[in-house]
Amino acid sequence: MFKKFNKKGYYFIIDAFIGSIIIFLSLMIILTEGARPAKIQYNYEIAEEYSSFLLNTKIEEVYNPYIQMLEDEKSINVSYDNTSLTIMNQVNLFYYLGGPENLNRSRGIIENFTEQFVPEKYGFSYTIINQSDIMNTTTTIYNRTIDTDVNDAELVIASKKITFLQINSTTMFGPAIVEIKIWV
Amino acid sequence: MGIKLNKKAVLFSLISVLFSVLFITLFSQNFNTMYEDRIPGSNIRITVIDTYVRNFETYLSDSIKISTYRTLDAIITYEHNHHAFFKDQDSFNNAFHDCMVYDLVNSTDPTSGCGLGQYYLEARLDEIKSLSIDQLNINTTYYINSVSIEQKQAFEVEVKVNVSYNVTDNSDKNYYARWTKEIVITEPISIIGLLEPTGNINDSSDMYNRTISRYRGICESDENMTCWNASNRLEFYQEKSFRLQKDSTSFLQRYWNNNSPSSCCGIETIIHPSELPSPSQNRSYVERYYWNSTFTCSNSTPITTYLLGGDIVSLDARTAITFGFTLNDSNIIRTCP
Repeated sequence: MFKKFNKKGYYFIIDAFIGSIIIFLSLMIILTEGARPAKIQYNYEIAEEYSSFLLNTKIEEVYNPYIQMLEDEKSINVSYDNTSLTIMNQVNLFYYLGGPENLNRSRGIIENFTEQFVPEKYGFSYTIINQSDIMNTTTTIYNRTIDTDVNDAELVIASKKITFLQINSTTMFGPAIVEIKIWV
Repeated sequence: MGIKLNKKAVLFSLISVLFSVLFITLFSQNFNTMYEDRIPGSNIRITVIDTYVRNFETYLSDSIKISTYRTLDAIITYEHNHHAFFKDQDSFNNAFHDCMVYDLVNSTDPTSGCGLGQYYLEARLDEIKSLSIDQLNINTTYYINSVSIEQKQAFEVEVKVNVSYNVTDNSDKNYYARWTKEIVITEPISIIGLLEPTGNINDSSDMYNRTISRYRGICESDENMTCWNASNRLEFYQEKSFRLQKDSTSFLQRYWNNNSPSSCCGIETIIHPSELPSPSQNRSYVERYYWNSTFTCSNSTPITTYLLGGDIVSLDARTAITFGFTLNDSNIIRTCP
């Protein structure tokens, strides 16, 4: 009724099973190694993704206590008639309006978001390079220095974005460059 | 009890283990190298350029809005300085194109400056082009294929710009990506705040500087012809605003002094005597009638002079009826002819 198994058959089954495990483990190791991002790439992605977040995310889409405070004190949307500005544009607007209070507001916005999104081990800076200005000004809006200064850092990653903002029917801020640097 | 192993099979198993170790060692290094080379070098670069391209189109839209508004303003100033209207719509369209794109009223005449400063379209695009190459190492070329303007709403114009552009990585590795695109951007532009062309071009004294603002009262539309009374006509007059009026001419038509009615976009206002160098009570103070002397005491339409908000204002019969004045109105000062 039942075929009597050949003893060699057991051996070949076990051998095939071992072979499969070896192939499976090999593939796992290879793919895991490949998918793990290199350190430099990971840091670059942090800078790039964070700058894209600031560039594309509208103020109305986020809840942040500092933004809420600015809205309550009517600092946001007083001179610009909506909440559809992105975070970066709102920072630009305060920068454009100028004065110590507005620059503090710019700094406050970037500081608040950076604390939440960029790990503490990284140094961080947010700079506006305004070449369309006659003075060709470079203004550091926010700078978070860790143990290492940016000039002595082992690794510095910069992400640059072109930024601009229509102020009213006849005036435009920019185009300027926003440079985000992170370093360790 | 135990299985007696075939020596050849053991050998094959050992060889397979050795091969596996060999492959793991070789491929893990190769794969990692390939991956590292590909990710920072191309994928991230592509992301950067892609973000730039999206930004470029938004920037283009914003630049078009500002250039259009400034061009409409600059052309009124040009016509005012030359005390002449464009002879027809085509002349206006050509001037609008040349002024908006090149900052010249006539592109063949380099001395015909339009006065847009750095806000003409080529200057705006050259600025982002220069910034992209300096700061992002991205090369941008563009060509403005066409610009057109029309009016479908009373208080806004619609501008349509066809642009072709090409964005490439400026590094040696320009095989990463290339964006070649032709887009048509259509932007509605509010005319609020612009000078009213007819009077401004006609008035050489520089006293008449009325700007476009929209009356938002209950009699906003000319369909509510029966809603005007002493209170809201005074409000309208003192606001110096414009109301919809289908029998009137549109904002754009005023650039070439076309007085034919515009059913979609006709607007009108009443001039204050203080805006006129030598106010004439023999003409209707509705702005297009006044500047074109359409209704005067010398032709058959009666002109009635009223006291309105302390000012002496003359109106033609049609306008007077529209605004709720009656024949026995106590504010009538005189009637002619």
